[in-house]
Amino acid sequence: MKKLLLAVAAFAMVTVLGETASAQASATQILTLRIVPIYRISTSGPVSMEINNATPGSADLTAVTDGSTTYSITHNNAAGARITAGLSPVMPASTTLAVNLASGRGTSAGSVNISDGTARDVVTAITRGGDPNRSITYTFSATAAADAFPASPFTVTYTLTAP
Amino acid sequence: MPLHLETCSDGTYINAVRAFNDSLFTFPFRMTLVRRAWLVALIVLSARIAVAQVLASGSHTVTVQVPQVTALQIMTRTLTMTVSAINTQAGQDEMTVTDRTTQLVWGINSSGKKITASTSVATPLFKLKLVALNPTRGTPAPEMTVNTTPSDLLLNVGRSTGSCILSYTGIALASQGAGTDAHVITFTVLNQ
Repeated sequence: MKKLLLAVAAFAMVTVLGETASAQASATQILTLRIVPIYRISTSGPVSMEINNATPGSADLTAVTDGSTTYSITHNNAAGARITAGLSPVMPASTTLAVNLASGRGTSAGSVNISDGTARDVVTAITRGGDPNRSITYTFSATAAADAFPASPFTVTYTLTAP
Repeated sequence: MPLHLETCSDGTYINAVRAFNDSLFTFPFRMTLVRRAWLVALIVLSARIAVAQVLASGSHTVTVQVPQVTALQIMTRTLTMTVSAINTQAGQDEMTVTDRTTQLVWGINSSGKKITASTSVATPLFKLKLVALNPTRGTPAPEMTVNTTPSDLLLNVGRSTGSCILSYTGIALASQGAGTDAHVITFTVLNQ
């Protein structure tokens, strides 16, 4: 009788354990999450500027400025980043276009003359992260030696790149 | 004389025996009466056995046992999610990538079950969130951040077969830099 009870108990235990084991199931999935080096920059716009005045007796026409647009950047380079500005086409003779970018994560170069089309640093030492809606200020100037010209499109290219 | 050794409710059978018995007296060969009697007896005996088999019945017990069964399957075993410039908005520190290409399929024949999810990576560089979308059965748990502790993905999935879409969202900060997290995501059916 005792042996019978033991046998019954052992059978019950095996049965319960077996059900517990089969009552659970699992599955696995390999998921690789990767972040590559990222540089993103955007600008608002466009901008329209016109020189239409001068101070009598001055050799320079009255310069105009525009601070209506902004730029935003995001980058994740631990070594930092910089922004360059280039212009195409180049400015007509005796005219100048300068640009000044504010920055919350880097060092602004102040007002930078980009008239000759050569890309120049306008913000440097930008730490990684996001920096939204920073102001762009253009200054359009000319001397009295500049010929008048009709409204013409110029393209300023900003590049966010590694330092 | 024809022999009539058997009576049966089946008239066809009796008629067949009688016809055969009669034929023994018209058979071209001359058979002795004793041989005829033996032959008829043999045929009748065989027929009785056959009749007995037809009329006999028996039974046995068939037990169908269905244990608790749970099955989980992921339709896509390997998945790579990349945060790139395409899914990054300039000016925002937070960068996200979402994937909804994977399906989780289950079959469970016991009640009171839920499905949990966990990762093998204890300290990931980037946050990984997961939620079950459009489950055919069960109740999806709120979106969770996947970590090494199993968290509920789906509730009330007992006694059902079904599927859901796994919606992964990787969240990184640009200020954290680049890198890679290699997760092994484990889905488990547990008692609820």
